Amino acid sequence: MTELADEKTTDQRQDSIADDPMQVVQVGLDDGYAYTKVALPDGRLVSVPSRARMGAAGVTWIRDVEQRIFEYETAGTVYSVGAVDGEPTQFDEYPGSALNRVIVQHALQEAGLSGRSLHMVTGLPVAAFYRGDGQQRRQAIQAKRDGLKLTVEPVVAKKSSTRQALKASIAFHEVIPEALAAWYDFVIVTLDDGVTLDADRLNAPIAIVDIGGRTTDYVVVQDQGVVHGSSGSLNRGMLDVKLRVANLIQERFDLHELGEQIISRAVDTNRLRLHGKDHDVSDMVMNAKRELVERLYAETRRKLGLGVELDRILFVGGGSAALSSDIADWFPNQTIADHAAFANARGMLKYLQFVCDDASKER
Amino acid sequence: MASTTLQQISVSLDTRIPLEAMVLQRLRRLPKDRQNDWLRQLVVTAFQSECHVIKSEQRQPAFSNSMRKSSTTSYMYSGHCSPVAKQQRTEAVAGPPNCPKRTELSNPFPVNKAHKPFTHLRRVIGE
Repeated sequence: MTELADEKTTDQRQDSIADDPMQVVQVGLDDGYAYTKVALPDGRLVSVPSRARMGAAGVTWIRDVEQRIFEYETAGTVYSVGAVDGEPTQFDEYPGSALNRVIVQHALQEAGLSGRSLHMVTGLPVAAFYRGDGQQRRQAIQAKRDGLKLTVEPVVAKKSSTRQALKASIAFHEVIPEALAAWYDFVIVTLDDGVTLDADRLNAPIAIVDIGGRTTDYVVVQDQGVVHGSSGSLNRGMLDVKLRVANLIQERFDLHELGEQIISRAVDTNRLRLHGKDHDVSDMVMNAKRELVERLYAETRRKLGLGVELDRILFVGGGSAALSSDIADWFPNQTIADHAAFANARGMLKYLQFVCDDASKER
Repeated sequence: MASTTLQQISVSLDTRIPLEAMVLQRLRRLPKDRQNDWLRQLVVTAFQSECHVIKSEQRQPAFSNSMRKSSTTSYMYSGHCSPVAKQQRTEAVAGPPNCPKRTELSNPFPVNKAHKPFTHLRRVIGE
């Protein structure tokens, strides 16, 4: 998808970190429906598509470096992750599912965290984290917390493989609302010689609009509290563009089925290759994006009005980068975050490093 | 009712002044039905920022202009970055040209086990 258009997605597995394997590593991990993003204390940002399916890959890789599909086992079931036609992630139980678990483990492996013990903060969409009255959905939060702590073992296909594939273990896991993570990223500023709170940003009324894969989250923070009346989630995101383009392609070319990876490529490149011939599908992609933008615009106006009382409206999430030209003029006081796709993951890491208490309790 | 609450103002922009020309250019790019909204927000936001400046001038009369312009810092914490780590970072960047490509740090992911400086921000999430 174009969701990460402004980011470099790591294609190659990172070397394992050569240091004390007993040392705990802090990780901010935004396990989105389209991409899973990892932020590490050394400044690295890693992203992998949230793409996996049940079952073994059925591929023997002659050279380790060429390997593009990786297998993981959890609760007695093997999953293939990587360059596969992924199962849909757009279902409510995804955050606590085995599918999510293997994708997260794969992202951690890609980040070079094989064999490491981790303290981690992840997120839930705002509407999955809070009830309408602002109370936390404790059961859903606990389910997510526990879900990612279940064991996922990398499956080493070849005995002769030179790659070490040890699972990354999660010793501490906290869950926070996704768009609010971007607020922490916004107000906590790391410098070369320390970290500081930006007091202007801290006290100003700010709205975060997080355009993701499946959902678009809204969070308004004022006087260091969430304004629940203006916060929530809309079940629309960049994956809707992909679904719409898939339908349009099936209609135009009279196809019954088309692989998920081919559709993703068509959305990214505006070209579809069928029977060895390229077809221009830019009009379909444009129409699908326009439909999404119109829906998002209406919801944004409904949630935030004209934004007159807000100091700033901060757009984050991969969708904000992919749709930057379409959303550029919604508010005069708006900003698109730097590396917008990673704003939540960065905020989760900062929350772990400077806000939450993980030293006394490993939960 | 609308005629009494809605007041129309007229502003002339000079295309010879670059910033004003940019405002006009931006306005013309917008769909007609959103132009009025956009202009109204522009005026209100500009006024808000003017209010902020006035407020901060009242709060900090002794500060110099340059101080006023800079973002306020309420808390500074440097515990997470030890002198050793800083030294290691410097070595990693400024090593001799013939040094190994990858500088091995003792731990690239130091975990801060000291007191977390912004624990009070936990309450933003609520109960």
